[in-house]
Amino acid sequence: MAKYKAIHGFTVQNRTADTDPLNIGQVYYRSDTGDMKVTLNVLGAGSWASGGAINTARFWFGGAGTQTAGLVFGGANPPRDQTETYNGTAWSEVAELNTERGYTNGGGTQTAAICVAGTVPPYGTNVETWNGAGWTEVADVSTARSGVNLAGTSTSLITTGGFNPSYPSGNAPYAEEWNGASWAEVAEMNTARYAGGGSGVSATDALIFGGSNTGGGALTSSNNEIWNGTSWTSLADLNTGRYGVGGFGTTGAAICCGGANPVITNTEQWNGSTWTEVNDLSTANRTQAVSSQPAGTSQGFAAGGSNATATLAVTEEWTQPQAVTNTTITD
Amino acid sequence: MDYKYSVKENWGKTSSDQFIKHEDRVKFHIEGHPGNVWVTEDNVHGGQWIARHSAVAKTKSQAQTIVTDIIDAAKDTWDNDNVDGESSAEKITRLGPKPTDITLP
Repeated sequence: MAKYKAIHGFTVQNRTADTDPLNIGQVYYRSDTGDMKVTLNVLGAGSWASGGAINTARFWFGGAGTQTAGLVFGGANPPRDQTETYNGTAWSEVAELNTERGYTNGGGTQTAAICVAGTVPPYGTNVETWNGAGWTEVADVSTARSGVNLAGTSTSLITTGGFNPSYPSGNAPYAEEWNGASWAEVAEMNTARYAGGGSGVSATDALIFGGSNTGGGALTSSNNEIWNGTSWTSLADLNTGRYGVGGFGTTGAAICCGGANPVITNTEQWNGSTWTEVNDLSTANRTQAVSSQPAGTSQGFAAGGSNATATLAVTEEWTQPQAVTNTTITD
Repeated sequence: MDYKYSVKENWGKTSSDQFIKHEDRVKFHIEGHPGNVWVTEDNVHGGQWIARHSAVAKTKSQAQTIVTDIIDAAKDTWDNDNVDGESSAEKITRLGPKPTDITLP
């Protein structure tokens, strides 16, 4: 039988206090009390707070980066090329996209991002990458569409679905993987839809949730599927179906916020197996741009978007506190 | 739960302050609506938030009227914004769903 050290890389220590932090997940023995204990990273209740307003109010646009190093680009309506960076307090305008577009999506970091397809109009295949200073046209996706679902980074990303009225119910079902240089068609999602949220770290580790599976968002989807690089697997649905949602995180820890129809504030958190209702956005919002650099659910942002009556410039910042604790192991 | 109603423009965030802080979200319920209408839980913390921002207090009826007037105007704008040959699905994709009534809690 393998020893604990062989499995975890460290031994079960005998200790007489809980003071010094150990590795997350490490088990130890309190010889003075006879308790077996484990060091855990415990997540507190997350919430949304106000962030700085973007300079150009818009909706259905791309987002990337983090809560303290964010990036947004494109948007509607009309089609826009503006790009802005966020420092955790204020947004600043930087170099514009080469092609104005709305109903687009993107991911990556503040210094290495990607903007995929969108409405030019009409429906575009254009893809551009951002290097922190400017946008460069790169290989197009194969199928013109808007409102694509996606997850990943500027060098490893999967995009799937999208809206184009030439397809049944407006759903362009195709899925494509990006390797930093070219696109390759892969298996389609089980449920075709567009304007869903996405989380994940690469082209082979992605989660797509919500969206619309009927043109125009008349019907919303609560479907949730994970991609492993080979196939899509359906997992537990969102509690509230919606399209035009914001999503960020990983395939094991994600946030889904806002969306329509009607426009809502609902926020749900994914723990790898189920979605749980958590603290809502302060204002109803759909088609906002969100952070994308995978940082689990500890932090993120949702900027711009639209509600029932207006195009928005507000930003909300999601923060989930974390604390390292030592917990007694019980039956 | 009882609520208070007020109007204040959301000014977002500065280097030293936030319109809504994480601590606020923990201490009381707050939700924003069209017309810069804010509904806050009627407790000491919600009251402090209104005072901190010098928000203009409204009755529930007054706040509802502000929201309803904006929604009604947005409905008219949505109905009148049409493109020749555009399907209903394309219109919803372009504009978003038609605004629906909001009833304040």
